[in-house]
Amino acid sequence: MAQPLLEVSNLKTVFHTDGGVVNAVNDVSFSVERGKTVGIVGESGCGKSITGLSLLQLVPNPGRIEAGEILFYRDDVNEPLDITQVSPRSELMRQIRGNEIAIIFQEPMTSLNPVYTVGDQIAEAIMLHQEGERSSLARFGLQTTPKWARERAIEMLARVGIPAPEQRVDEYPHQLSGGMRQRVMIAIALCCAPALLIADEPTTALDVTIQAQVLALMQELQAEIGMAIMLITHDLGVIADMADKVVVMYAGRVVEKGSVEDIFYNPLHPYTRGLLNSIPTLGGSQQKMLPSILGTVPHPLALPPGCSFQPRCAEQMPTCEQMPELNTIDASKNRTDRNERHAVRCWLCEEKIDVETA
Amino acid sequence: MSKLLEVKDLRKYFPTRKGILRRTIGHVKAVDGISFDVERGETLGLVGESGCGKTTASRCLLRLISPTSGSFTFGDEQVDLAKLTPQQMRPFRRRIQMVFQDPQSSLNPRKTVGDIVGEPLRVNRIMKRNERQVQIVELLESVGLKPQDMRRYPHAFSGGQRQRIGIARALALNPELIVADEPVSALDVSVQAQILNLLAELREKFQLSYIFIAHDLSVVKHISDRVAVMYLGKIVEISDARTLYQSPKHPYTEALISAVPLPDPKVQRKRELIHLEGDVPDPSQPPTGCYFHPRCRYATDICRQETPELHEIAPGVKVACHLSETLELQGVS
Ligand SMILES: Nc1ncnc2c1ncn2[C@@H]1O[C@H](COP(=O)(O)OP(=O)(O)OP(=O)(O)O)[C@@H](O)[C@H]1O
Ligand SMILES: Nc1ncnc2c1ncn2[C@@H]1O[C@H](COP(=O)(O)OP(=O)(O)OP(=O)(O)O)[C@@H](O)[C@H]1O
Ligand code: SF4
Ligand code: SF4
Ligand SMILES: [Mg+2]
Ligand SMILES: [Mg+2]
Repeated sequence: MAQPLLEVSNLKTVFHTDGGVVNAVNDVSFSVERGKTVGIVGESGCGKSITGLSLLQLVPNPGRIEAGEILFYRDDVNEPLDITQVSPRSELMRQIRGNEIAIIFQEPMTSLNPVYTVGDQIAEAIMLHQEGERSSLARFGLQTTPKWARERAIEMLARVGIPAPEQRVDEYPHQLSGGMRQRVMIAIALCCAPALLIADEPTTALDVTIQAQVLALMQELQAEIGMAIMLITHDLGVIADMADKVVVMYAGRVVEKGSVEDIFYNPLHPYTRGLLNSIPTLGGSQQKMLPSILGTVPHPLALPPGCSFQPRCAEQMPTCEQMPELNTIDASKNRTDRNERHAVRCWLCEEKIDVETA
Repeated sequence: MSKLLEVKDLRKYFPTRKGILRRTIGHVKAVDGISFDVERGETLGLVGESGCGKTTASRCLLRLISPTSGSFTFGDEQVDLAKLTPQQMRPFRRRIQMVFQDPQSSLNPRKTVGDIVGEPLRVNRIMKRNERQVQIVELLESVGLKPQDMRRYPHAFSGGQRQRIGIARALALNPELIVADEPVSALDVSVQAQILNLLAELREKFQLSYIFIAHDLSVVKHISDRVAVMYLGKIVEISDARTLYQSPKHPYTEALISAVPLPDPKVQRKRELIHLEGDVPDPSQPPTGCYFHPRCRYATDICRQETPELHEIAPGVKVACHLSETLELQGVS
């Protein structure tokens, strides 16, 4: 049984805006297991990024976490730490961000500093990480010198597959291609061998062939250092390739979650089914018309009453005026690990199951 | 079917300049001698990675920029658009329209949707005012918008709806050819399907032809009758969509197909991934011989020396590869 690394329960992150309260992340629960990959999918604005940022206490103003728990099972510590209770600017939070949970974004240019060479930026991450260990290194007569850090930086660049790393180490971010910049970001994120890597659309801005390289690299490094990955994307192909478990979000809520097989071979929520049907595929015969989901995502300040998917749902019925719970599907209840069970938020699935009282 | 457009050896070189005198020190061969036809009623898909010249090629066809050389004969009249002056080009502009990736930036935020869609009719003085109103309502309805949307401004619409507005505007002058540059790339998956269906429906209804540009191979396969694959300014393979995906004949096409993750975990995890090493080369300093050779796993000596020409290897299948007759490449079925 995979050990949980992170257990998110009933997380609620809101933005108090002039127009009203946006519930960007609403009653979201899921877990991340050590060494495993959780995929978070959903359309633009459904709350994927804010969920990821909440885990690191990096929610931008005027947003804040209003409810829920984020239990983090740290190495060598028996009691889990509730990240929601840690102050965003505390030393502890900084330590977690630098060493235990790393994050990479869609556009690496925004997170790389344009005036420093990539080598300096990787070296800085290495030095920062070594700070804590310096005393122990010193005991063995070792020192973390800038020269040493530079050599490690070159090693890291080579490790993430950048050709001619001895040259690249002295280049500035703008001199690299998009794919190489994303590799540098990964190198920086991995300097500390994090327990969890949050990757927010890491390949969305890249060409498919480069995307394939970056995804393969992430898998390789995951196997090597055993880190868990929380992979945020709207690309169901990427999810099919990478994820062990999948969380489908719609308008701030989890509408379905389960193993990657549950989601792709037994999708139960009308939104999940609609999504899977509406993507054109490479294989198979060409269809004339794609089965598409009607309408568009509701505005976050004007959500319909009850099930948020209701205005677009072909199977909508009077009960849908009330918000359905996220319920575990009976058939998956005998799975030993309750974090691995298949759960759906839809009235259609309600009668087949009994409400889980967790 | 009859030929609507025939492009021959189209080139567009951008000068690269340096120093205060902005002296030309070389050229980016953004489009480097491409040839293809578009039949009436057909959709030709154009795929390839970022920077391979897709947008530049389409901008040349619309004469938004002047091509460096080449010809493109259009319509039953067989006029070479590449040779026309802007004045002479004017009547043809109506017959070829463009739909852009980012509907946000191509729609004037200070104009109502009615004005935006009616603009081409007004500028070309095609109809009287009241006739125009009727026509605008019809156009809006044919793209799935409501008559009352006429009076609203673009910002009040979602991305998918703005793309519908852009399409209505492109249809206003009853064009024969629509060049759509990444028209669904910025849209969410569920909305993307709606727009693809709309484009297919309009093609039937108005007997349109499309040149459909995208980097998403699945989307291109879905909408296209034939597909052309570009690499560094050249077409490396062109054939009917089914053949191209099932049995690609160019190693680059094979690698592209292999890199697209299929939304089926069991199938995807069993696939053999073809690793393309490195990045697309700098187009101002393309490699010798076959431009793809530094990344090609089949490359031989001849590939490093001689540039392969696009040639027909089976009816309707053209490939630019020295080894296309002997290689057994993998596609998806
Ligand atoms: N700074 C902010 N102020 C107000 N609302 C915000 C802010 N940032 C995000 N939101 C809202 O929070 C919701 C979730 O946003 P989030 O960025 O998490 O979406 P996402 O799923 O990552 O979308 P995308 O796929 O476009 O990246 C959205 O409705 C958005 O409008
Ligand atoms: N006005 C210009 N001046 C100089 N170079 C240009 C100009 N426009 C395009 N290029 C170059 O021409 C090449 C082709 O660019 P183009 O925009 O046509 O590619 P594309 O296939 O549309 O890429 P994308 O998928 O990123 O849109 C690129 O190397 C680009 O940098
Ligand atoms: S709860 Fe009702 S409206 Fe919502 S997805 Fe299920 S059937 Fe559709
Ligand atoms: S010509 Fe040679 S290098 Fe080019 S694609 Fe064919 S086999 Fe590869
Ligand atoms: Mg996001
Ligand atoms: Mg382009």
